[in-house]
Amino acid sequence: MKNSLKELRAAKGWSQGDVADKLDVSRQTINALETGRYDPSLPLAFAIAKLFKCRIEDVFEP
Amino acid sequence: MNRTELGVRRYFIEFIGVMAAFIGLFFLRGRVPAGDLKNLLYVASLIPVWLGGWVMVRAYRAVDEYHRQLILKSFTIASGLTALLTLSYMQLQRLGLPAISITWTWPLMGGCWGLCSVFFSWRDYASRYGVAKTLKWTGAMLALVAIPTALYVALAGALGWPHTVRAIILVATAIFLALNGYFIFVKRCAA
Repeated sequence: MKNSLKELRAAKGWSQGDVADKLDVSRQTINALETGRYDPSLPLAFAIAKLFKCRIEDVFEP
Repeated sequence: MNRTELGVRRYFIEFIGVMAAFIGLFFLRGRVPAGDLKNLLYVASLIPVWLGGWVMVRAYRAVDEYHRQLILKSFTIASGLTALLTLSYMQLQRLGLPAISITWTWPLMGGCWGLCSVFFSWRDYASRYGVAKTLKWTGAMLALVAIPTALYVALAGALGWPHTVRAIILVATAIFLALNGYFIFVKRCAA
């Protein structure tokens, strides 16, 4: 599954560590999501969408 | 510090504590003459073993979903590898290879688990920091396992401790698992 997490994060000027802290996950998790090596669970996907104030389909695409 | 980092830090403190208790009892029971006290020490050494299992369950519950997946993946592959290796050795024993105690299964499985964890973390680390830096990190970690183990062997020889191969492997496995986790989680979470 593709995602635009890296672009959204860059637009906010946040580091991977900043996003990790806001989502209460590790920095490696954000790295794995951005590099497409890990697809998040639904609760984490919703949390990511909520953090960037957008819909899930704006962050993730199949 | 997020939930995963806190959970992992707590895991290493607890893991090192139970391993220290186990190794302490392991050496103590070797120096006590046969009798009720020795039997008590044998039973007592089971307490840190079971506490170690509880510590691992706590760590699993404390980390985030990505790390849970990595832990499960590593554990599954390590279990499969251990099953294949022990089954293969069982067949080879019929061809004349020497019988090995079942206690070797733990270092074997611990080693397989550690190697799988290193592989997944290595891939993760390389994707962020590049292969050269990752190789340097891997070399540093191997040196940090080899140097304390060599020091243990030297100290054991000097002080007359039982420096059997099994004890050396136990020490090396404990150091390897502790350092592996420390480098993989604590250092990199903070990066």
